[in-house]
Amino acid sequence: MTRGSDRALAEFLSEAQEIVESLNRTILSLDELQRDGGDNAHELVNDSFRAVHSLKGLTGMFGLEGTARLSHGLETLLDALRLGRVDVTSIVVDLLFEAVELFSAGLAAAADGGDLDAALIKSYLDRIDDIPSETLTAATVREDEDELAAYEFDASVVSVLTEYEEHRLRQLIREGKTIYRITTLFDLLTIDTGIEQLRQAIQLIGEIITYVPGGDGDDPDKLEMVILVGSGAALDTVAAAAGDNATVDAVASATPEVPAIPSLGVRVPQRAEADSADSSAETDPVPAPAASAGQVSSLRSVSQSVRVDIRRLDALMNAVGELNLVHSGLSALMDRMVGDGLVDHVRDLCREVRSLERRAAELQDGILEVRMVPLRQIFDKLSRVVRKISRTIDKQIGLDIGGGETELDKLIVEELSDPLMHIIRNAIDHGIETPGERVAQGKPEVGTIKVRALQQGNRVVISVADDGRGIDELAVADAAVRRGVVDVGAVESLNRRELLNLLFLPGMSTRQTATELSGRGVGLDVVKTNIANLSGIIDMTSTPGHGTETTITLPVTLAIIQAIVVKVAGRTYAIPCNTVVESVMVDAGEIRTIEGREVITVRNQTLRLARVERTFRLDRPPSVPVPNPLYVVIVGVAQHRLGLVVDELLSNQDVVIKSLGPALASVPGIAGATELPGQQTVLVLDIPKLIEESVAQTAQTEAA
Amino acid sequence: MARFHIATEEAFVAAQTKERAGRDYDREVITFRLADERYGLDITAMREILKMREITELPRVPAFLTGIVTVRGEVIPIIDLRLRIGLGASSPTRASRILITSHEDQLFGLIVDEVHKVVRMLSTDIQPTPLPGGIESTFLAGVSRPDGDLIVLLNLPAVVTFRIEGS
Repeated sequence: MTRGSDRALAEFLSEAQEIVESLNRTILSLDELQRDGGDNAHELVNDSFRAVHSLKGLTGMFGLEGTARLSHGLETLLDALRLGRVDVTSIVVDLLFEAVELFSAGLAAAADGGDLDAALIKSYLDRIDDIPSETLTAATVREDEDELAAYEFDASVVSVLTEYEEHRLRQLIREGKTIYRITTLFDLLTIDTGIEQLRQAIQLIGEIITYVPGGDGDDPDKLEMVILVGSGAALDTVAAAAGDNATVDAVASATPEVPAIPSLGVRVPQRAEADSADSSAETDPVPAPAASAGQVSSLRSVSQSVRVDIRRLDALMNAVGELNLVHSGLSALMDRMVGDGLVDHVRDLCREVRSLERRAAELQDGILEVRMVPLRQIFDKLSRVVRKISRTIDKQIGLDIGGGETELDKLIVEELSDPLMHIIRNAIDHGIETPGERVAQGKPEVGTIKVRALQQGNRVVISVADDGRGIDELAVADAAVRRGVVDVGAVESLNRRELLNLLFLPGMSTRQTATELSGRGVGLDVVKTNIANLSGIIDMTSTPGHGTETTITLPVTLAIIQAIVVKVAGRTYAIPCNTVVESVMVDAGEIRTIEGREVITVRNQTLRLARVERTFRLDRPPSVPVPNPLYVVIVGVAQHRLGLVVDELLSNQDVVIKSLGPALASVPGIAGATELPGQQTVLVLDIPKLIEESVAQTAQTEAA
Repeated sequence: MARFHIATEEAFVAAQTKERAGRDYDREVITFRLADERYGLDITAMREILKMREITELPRVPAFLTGIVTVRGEVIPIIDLRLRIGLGASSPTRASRILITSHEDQLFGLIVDEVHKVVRMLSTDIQPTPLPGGIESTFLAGVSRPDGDLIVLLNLPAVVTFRIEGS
C-alpha cells in the first residue's frame, strides 16, 4: 500500500502522536492505580484498548505493517485485561510502557519512510505471550459459575451484549452492585452532547455497561436509548443523575430482598440485532454497540478541535504583522491630512482606524493563543523516562510535577523537552544519592525531583529541584581549572553562584566517569545554548547536602516579541525586551576603563560596556556626532550582564521577528529582522551571542 | 541539404525561422550592464526586478553583501554584483535595479547598473571562454554572441554561495 502524500503523512503522524501521548497518560494512571492497590482499572484499560485500536486502524491504513502488528498484539493483551483474564500487574504495566516507546519509535521511523524493526516487534509480542496464564485459567473458571443464570435476563438483551459487556455485567453483579435500566429520549440534534452529559453524571455513581438504541418512538426527531448501569447507589440517586427525562428501574440486584427481578425487556431494533449477529460471528473483539458509543465521543472531539501545521500559523502571524504596518501607514496619512486642514474627514477616519487597530490586536492575540500548548505534553514524557531510569539504577526517584497546565508557544515546548530531560537526568545521576547514603544522612530513601512551571507575566518559569547531595562549587571550580576552561586567577574573582554556573561552559562535567545516563558527550553547555536559542535564561543554585535547583525562564511566545528600538550611528536596531534588564542614561564622563574594557558603575555594581558601533564596526557618518549623554541598555542572559551603548532610545513596541534565511543565518550578533512602520526593515540583535562575544573578549584580555 | 522547395524568399525566411525556433532557441537570458560590460543570467532563475530602495546594512559581513530588504514579508539578502565578481563597488544611479533571483528556494537580490532586455540564444553557441584577468572565473558560465555583441553569462549558484565567518 502506498504511503500517500506528504501532507497526509504529516496529518497521520500528528494524529497518531496524539493518540500515543494520551495512551501514555492512561498507562501512567494505570501504573499509579496498580501500585496503590486499586482495583478499579477497567475504565483505564478500556481507554487504552480504544487508543490501541485506533492506532491499529491508522497505522494499517498507512501501510505500516510492523506498527499495525504491534497494535494487534497489544490489543489482544488489553482485551484479555479488560475481560479479567489477565490481572493488571507491574509486569503488564511495564509491557504497556514499552509499547508506548515502540509506538513512538515506529512513528519516528514512519516520518522517515520506514517502519519498526520486525525483530523488535517479535521479541515484544513473544513477551506478551509469556504472561503467566494461570490467572487466565482462574478467571475462566470463575466465569463458568454463571451469575447471570440467577436472573431472568431477557435473552435478546444478553445476546446484544458483547463478551466484554457481559463480563462487566457479571463482575458488577458479583461485586454486589445493582443493575439499573435507564430509558431516556434524546433529541437527535444534540444526542452527542446529551449522551456525553449523561455518561459523565452516571460515571460519578456507577458504571455504564452498555448503550442500546430503543424503539423509534413517535417523534421522528428523538431517539430512545436504553442504558444499562451497574451501581452501588440507591434508585433515587441514579434517577437524579439520569435527569428528568429518564425513567430508571432496577433490573437485577445481588440483595436477596429484591422480590422479583423484572425482565430487562429491551426492545431491540433490527439494526442492533444485525450488529450483534456480526459481532458474535467475528473473532474481532471490538464490540459493536460499545464501538458506537465510543464513536459518539470520538466524533465529538474531532468536531471540536482542528490540527494545524505550525507553519500556517506563522504565515497568519506574518499577515497580522503586515496588517499592523497598514495601520501605521493609515495613522501617518491621518497626520498628513490634519496638516492639510482636512480635520472633519480625519475625525471619521480616526474612528475607523481605531477600530481596525482593535480588531488587529484581537486577531494577533487569537493567533498567539492558538499556538499555545500546555507543558503537560512534555511533562508526561518526563514521567515515563524517569520511571524507566529509576528501575535500571539503584536509586529511588519520586517525580513531583506541578503546573503542567501552564501554556507556552508550541515551538518552544517542542524545543524544551531535550534540555529539560538533560537537567532531570543530571539530577538523577549526580544529585540524588543511593538509598543507603540517604538514610545515613537522615533523608527519606526516595529522592524527590520537583518540577514546577509557573507563568509570570509574559514569561514562564520552569524549575527542577532535587533533594540530593547538592553541588560543591569548589569542586566545580577545581574541575574548570583542571580542564583549562578558566584560569586560576579568573576563578578567584567569582562568587558562589558564578562558580556554579561554570557548569554551563563547554567541556565541564564534575563526575570522573561518564554514565549511561548523562555521560553522552552532551553537557550543560548544550542545554544552555538550546535555552538561549529560545531567548530563555537558565540559572542554577545549590546547597551542598540539600539539593540543587535549576531554573529556566522563557518567553511565552517567540512569534511576537516586545522590543526596544534604538539608534546607533544613524542605524536602527531592535533589542528584544525579554533580555533587557533596564536602560539608563549616562554621561560620557561616567565611563571608566578597567584593563582596556569600558565599564560604568550602576548601583554599586561594575557593569561591562559594549559600544554597539564598535562591536559592529560601523562607520559613523559625519552628520551624526557621538551624543552626550549616551544611553546604556543593560541586557542579561543567565548571570551575565552587559551594557549596550547606543545613541538614542526610540520606542518600545511589539514586533514580528523574521528569520534572515539560511544564507544569512550565521551573521553573528543578529537574530533576525523586523519591519517597522514606514517600510523600514530593522535588524533584531542577538543578545545571547553579543554577551558571549563580550565574555570571550574579556577572557582573552585576561589571558593576554 | 534543402529538403523543401523554396518558392519565395519570404517562405525561405519563414521556414528557416520556424526551424530555428523549433529546434534551437533553448535559452532565454536577461541581459544587464555592470560597469561597461554586458552580462546575462538565465531567465528561469529570475523572479522580479525592483527599483533601488533603502537597503538595511548588515554588520560584520563581506563587503559585497550590501544588506537586506523585505519584500512581501520575506527577508532577501542583497549582493552588490559588481563587488562580488571583482569589478569594484557600484554607485547607485537612477538606472540601477535589483534583480531578485532564486537559488535552491532562497531569494537573492543582485544590484546591477542597468537592465537591458531578454535575449534568446542557443546553448550550443555558448562558449566556455573565461575572460583573461579581472573577473574571477568561478563566477562565469560562458560567453555568447547571439546578436553579435558579447554577453558574459554568470554562474548564479557561485555568485549566491558564500560563507560568513565569525559564528
